[in-house]
This record gives sequence, structure tokens and C-alpha cells, in this order.
Amino acid sequence: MTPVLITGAGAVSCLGVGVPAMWKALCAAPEIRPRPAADPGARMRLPLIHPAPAEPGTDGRATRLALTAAREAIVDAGLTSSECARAPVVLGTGGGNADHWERPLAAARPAPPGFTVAAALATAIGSGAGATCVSNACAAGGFALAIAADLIRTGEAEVVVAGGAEAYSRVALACFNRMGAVDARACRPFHRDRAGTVFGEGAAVFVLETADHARRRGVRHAYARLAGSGWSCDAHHLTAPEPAGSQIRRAMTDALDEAGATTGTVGCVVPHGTGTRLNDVVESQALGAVFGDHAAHLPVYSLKALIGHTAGAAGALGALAAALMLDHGTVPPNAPLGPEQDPHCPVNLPQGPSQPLTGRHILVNAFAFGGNNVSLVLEGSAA
Amino acid sequence: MRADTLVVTGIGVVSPWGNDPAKLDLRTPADADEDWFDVVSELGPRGYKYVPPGCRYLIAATRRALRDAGDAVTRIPEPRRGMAVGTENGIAGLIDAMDETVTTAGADRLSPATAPYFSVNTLAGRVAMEHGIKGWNLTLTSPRAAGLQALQAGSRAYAAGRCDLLLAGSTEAALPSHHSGHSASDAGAAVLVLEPRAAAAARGAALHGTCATATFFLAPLLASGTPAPDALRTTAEALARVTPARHRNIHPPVRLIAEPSPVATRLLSQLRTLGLRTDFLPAGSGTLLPVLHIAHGLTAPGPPHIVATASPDGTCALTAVHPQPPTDPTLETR
Repeated sequence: MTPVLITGAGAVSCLGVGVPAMWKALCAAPEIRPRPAADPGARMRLPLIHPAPAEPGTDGRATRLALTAAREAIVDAGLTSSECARAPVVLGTGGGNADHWERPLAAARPAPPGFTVAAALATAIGSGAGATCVSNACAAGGFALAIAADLIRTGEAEVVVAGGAEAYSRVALACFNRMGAVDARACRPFHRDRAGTVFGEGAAVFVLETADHARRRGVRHAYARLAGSGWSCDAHHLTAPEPAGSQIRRAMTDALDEAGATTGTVGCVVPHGTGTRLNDVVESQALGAVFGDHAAHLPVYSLKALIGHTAGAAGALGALAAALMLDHGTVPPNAPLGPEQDPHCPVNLPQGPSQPLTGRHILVNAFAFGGNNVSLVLEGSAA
Repeated sequence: MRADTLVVTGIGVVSPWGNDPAKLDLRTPADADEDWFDVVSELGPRGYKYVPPGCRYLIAATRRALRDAGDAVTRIPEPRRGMAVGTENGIAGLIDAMDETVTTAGADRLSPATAPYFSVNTLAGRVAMEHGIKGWNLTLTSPRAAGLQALQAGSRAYAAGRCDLLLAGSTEAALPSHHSGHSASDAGAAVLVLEPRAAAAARGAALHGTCATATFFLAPLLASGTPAPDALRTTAEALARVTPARHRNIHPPVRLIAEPSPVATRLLSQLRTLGLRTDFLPAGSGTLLPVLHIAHGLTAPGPPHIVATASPDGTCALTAVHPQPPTDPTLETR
């Protein structure tokens, strides 16, 4: 199977702008509390968010976050304008530019379409090869990366710019409030007292390319390989996971199979783990079923405990965390959970100092409303 | 990667132009408002009160497509069924109404039954629940082009071995009445059932034809005047990707379905420069109309043709439609 290399990356989140800032914060594992949204229209009990620094401009907020990450990724990879011209853009976002859909409704603004994020990126980088916006809710960024890898493996492209971006949406947060799915304190995946999630803004964008393409243009550094993906759909409920977790298990095992990985070669998992009651239990049990005895010692890195649930960007930011771990050979500490881990979520959440990564693969999960599931397997580029 | 061809064995449509894909008069204007859709006759008397229009249309079109395809879906295990749906404004009206509620009465007054539908992928997710589509489910939202991209992304996922049966199409609902694009809203849904040619032959299925899609991008800034020597080549390459070598000299006619914009003007010019007879047809606000043209084009034997679309933001897509010839030597045709 054609290897797909990650040769450039960019990120923005509540941790700041840039991949170095993100890795530094992952290693420091600070406690970051969500803030009330700066939105007078947010008439809801818990208008909490982890805001990200968006560059100024008239584009929608998700577009501006995506552009920040994309520019960094293009520079990081050293793509030339002619290489960008041949790179399709695949961008995952759950709500697109929600600020262009939601109030105040500006008469002069051509409200919807809100899903112009991929096209804005394609324009910015000078792509002529296509722009696809993927909106599989909280799995959108993961699906975007998986589609990008398939574009390369089917021979449609040699290099793709792909990732995920999500910005504050008043309606999305209001609906989570109405469904009782927001935690008043923080995003606390696998915590005994978790009471829902807390959204965060952010974007992660990658340059993906074939090994041949990278070699021809003299690439010296790749973070990792995107080695496999597994797709599934619960077809069970609009919002709740299937209790048995059979389809998320299949997504994970299909991703491992496609990557040529075994449970023993996986050194870490970046879970979906949102902090909602049932999701964390189902995912914990599914990890136990997939990894068997290995699960008790397999490090699980809970990114959402640090940056909140970045929805359509979550899969891409999770993949970036995995790529950085593989690149540095290190698993950073989880945000402090204390001794209050839910006994129904028996996953290994290392706290304290960073630890060496053992194993050449990392599994990343991204699950979503609509029962949409995608798992990604990243492999160390030196493997 | 699989190299076998997907064939269309089922077509389902619900639209203001009617629900028979063979009788759609898509060149005449149609009213997007919901009066044209009979919920009870399409979906039944109960269970759909809180389901938003864009989801109702998709459910109805999917049922029609699967009826048309015979026993295609029941032969395939649930984890091998995939679905890709394009939509741009499928929940725009719902979001607008919810936002009105949140900013006035507050979030506590939102209906818990409709709250999940704030997420656009729940439209296809609801359909997946009804038909056990557990392989995967994609929602694409690229303006204007997502319906054609759903065909492309779904076919690519099939080629990558991710399913054995594909449902692909588009659903749209009317924009809010205060929106300037309301009167030009797309509304309705179109779904195609696609399966490998060999599987269709094995079960004796009737065929509608095949379709192949390519996408590309014409940046709006370039479209409005800056010379872009590579852009013509990009369009030519996209055409080559969807046109079998044996058809290269046929120069299939093109229906370009787009709203007037610099991007559409440039694409129209390029297609004509490449020697293709191209009709320009005005588009609605949404992703549905090009898919309706494909559905209609597959219902009667005829020469290959191309359905194209272009979004003002630069996304372009082409689908080559090959209606099943009436004298296919191996399979019965409709």
C-alpha cells in the first residue's frame, strides 16, 4: 500500500498558535479552565468554551482558524506554489462558519453557505486540484484525513492538504445545553464525576504526500505516516453510542489491519473521550475488547482534557498529537485527573512526567453524532 | 484498489418537479416551499413530526431508490453498506429557527426532539438507522458541488474496499424566508444506489447506467480575469478522468448547472474551448439540482453526457453520465 507521509503540520487551539506551542503545552499539561463565550446572545446555562486565537479578518471564524493552521503547514512542509496548485484540499468541519449562519444576521452578508472553509483554503494556497468540505460532526477532521489518504492511495493525488477546523457555534452549544451534555467545571474525560463535554475552538492542518513525492522534492523530515483508517457507522441513535460498541470496535480493528499494525505494536491511544457519561464507558470497554490484556498498560492520552472538545477539528488535532508523540518518541502526561477516575472506564491515563513511547503505532479515535466513527493509525516515520 | 465499475441500479427522487425521475422538467422554475411534499403518503402517519424537512426528503428519496433497486440492500451485510450525502442548506432553516429561540427565549426553550439535528450529518445518520448502513456514512457540504462530490467520495471509498453497496446523493431544504436566496432554494432529495457490475449481474438487476465524477478548483480571483494557463489544463484533466478513452472523440454535451459567477463564466468558456457543446442552466441555492439532472439523465437510454457545476467560491465538479444502452448484451435494461 502506498505510504502516506505527514510532512507538514499547523495548529491553533486554546494552547496558542503553532505546532511548537502545542507540543510545549502538551508536555506541561497545565490545567486550563473554560470561559464564558464572549457572546451576548448566548442565552443558556453553561455558555462555556475554550476559545482559540483567530486572526482578524472578514472570513468566517472557522475559516480564519483553518487558514492559520494551513499557512503553518505549507511553510513547514516547504511546498512550492506549483506543488500547492496540484494539492487537493480536504477539510473537516462540523458547523463551518457558524458566525455566518447565526445572529446578528447582517443584511450585506451572503449568509449561507457557511461551509466555505475548504474553498477558502484552496484559494489561499493556490490549489487547482479541488476543495472538499467534510461535515461528519465531531469525526469530520478524522474523516477528512482518511479521505485525503485514500486520494493518495487511489492515485488521484500525490500531495493533499487536509485537516479539521471548528469555531464557536451558539446553536451547537445551546443544543448541548438543552441535551444536558455540558460539564459546568471542565472537559473531564473518564472522570468519575464527568457531566458532559466542553467545546473548544481549533484547527489542525497537514500536508500529506507519497514517499516518492517527498523524496523528489527533497523532504528531510516527516512527522509520521498515516498508515491506516477504519470507518464505521453505529446506525443506532442520532446522539447516543451503540452500547455494545460493536461499530467503534470495527473502526479500530479495520484501521489497525489497514496499517499492518497489531495490538502489540500500538504504543498509545488518543481516544475520542469527550467527557459525556456513556461515550467514555463505551469507548473504554471497546478499547478493552480490542487490546485485551495489553489495554491495562497501554497509555491513553486524553487531549480533550487539555483543549476541550474541538468537534470537527478533534480528529485532526488528535492526529497531530499522535504525530508529535511519534516524532518525539514521547507520551506527554495527561492533564491532572487525580484519583477520581471512573472505575467503569478502566483505561491507563498516565499522569506525572512524560514517558517514552514504546511501540511504533498510535491509534486515534474520532466518533460523532449520527453514529459516525473513524479511527486512524499513525506510524513512526522511522519505522 | 478495486478497479471494477459501479453501476446505478436504483434511483429515488422527491422534488418540487415531482417524484418520477424520468419526468422531471428541470428547466422550468419550481417552488421550494414545503407544500409539494406529502409527509404522510411518503413516510407514514407517525414518527416524523420532529424530523426536519431536509431529513424527511432524504428518507423518502432513499426508500424510493432502494425500492427501485430491488433486493440490493438486503443482500449486503450491514457493515458493507456505505452512504455519502451532499448538502449545503439541509439544516439552514432549522439552525435559523433555533438561533432565534436561543437569542430570545433561551436554550431551555429548544425542543429536545429537534436539538440533535443542529448537526448536519444527522440527516444521513437518520437514514443509516433505518436501513442498517453500518459500513460508513459521509456528509459533504462543499457549496453547490457536494452532491457530485458525494458520488465521487462514495465511489472512491468503494474503490478502497470500504463497502460493497453505495448510496449517494443530495438533500436540501428551503432557506429561511428572510434570506435573499429563499426563492431560489433547492429543496428535495435524490439518491442513487450503486453496486459492482458483477454483483448486479449476478442478481439479475436492471441497470440505469454509470457515472464518474471529478472535481477541481478555479480560484475566484483567477476566474475574474487574471490569466491562469494551468486552469484550462486542470479542466481538461478532470474531463479525461471521467471519460473512458473510447469516448474521448465523442465530445459529450455538457450541462453546466451554476449560478452566474466569474467562476461559472470561466468554466463555461473553458468547456467550450475544449470543444464541448455546453448548455448553461441556472442553479438553485444548494447541491441538489445537478444530482437531479444526473438522476433524470439515467432514466432513459441515450448518449453519454456530462453534468457540471461550479460554486462561486471556486469548487467545480463534473460527472460523466452513461445511461445504460438498450442493447446491452449481458443484462436486461429498463
